[in-house]
Amino acid sequence: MVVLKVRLFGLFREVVGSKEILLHFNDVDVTVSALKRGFFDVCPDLVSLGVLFVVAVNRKVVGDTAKVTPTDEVALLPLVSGG
Amino acid sequence: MIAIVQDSIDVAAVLRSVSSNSAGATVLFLGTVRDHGDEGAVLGLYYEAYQEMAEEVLRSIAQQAIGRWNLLGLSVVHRLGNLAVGEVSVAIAASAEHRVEAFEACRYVIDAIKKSVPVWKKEISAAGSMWVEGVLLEDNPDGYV
Repeated sequence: MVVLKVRLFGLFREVVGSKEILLHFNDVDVTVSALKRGFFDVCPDLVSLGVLFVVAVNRKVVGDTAKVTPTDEVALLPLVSGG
Repeated sequence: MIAIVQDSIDVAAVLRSVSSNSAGATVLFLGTVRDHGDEGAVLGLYYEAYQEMAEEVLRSIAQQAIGRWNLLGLSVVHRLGNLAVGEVSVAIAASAEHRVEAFEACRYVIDAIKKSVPVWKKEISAAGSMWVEGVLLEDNPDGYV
């Protein structure tokens, strides 16, 4: 089993009520796509909100096929609104 | 000076940080909290960031701007936390030999911040608070705008 620590910001942090969440996966190889599914499984409220977001791994935005390991810094980034 | 801060931005210090005797122009951009939004009156804004990534992206944007417009100085400071109407949320100062470069660089940096820096803001109004519907973050180190 793989456990990933995922950082949350903005709307996600607020809805989940925490700055980070632990997600558990049975597969050793976890893709960003699987990470998203795992997140929605434990945070179904966010599915109904239909929020768009990207995933950052080690502070870089990555696509759905990228692999994620427990040593990576993982973050979910909802729509940004800086400035 | 590239920074993400919790306290008021010292605008004079930001300007001083780009001063150069070779500069013929210095442009200062300030983003400020306005008193209204799409839903009506706004009392203030709350900002939060993925600070480590935001600082890295800000540095990358600044490097691009410095190279592209041959700037003599460039500073970018973004504030986080609770801001009241009229307060400065972001300050960008660019100095260059000529005004066109300094103007264009400031425009580039603020546009890049809005697209590519992981910062989120929430509008505070009498009716409550709401995260501002922003844009999907673009990661494009070869050119942010």
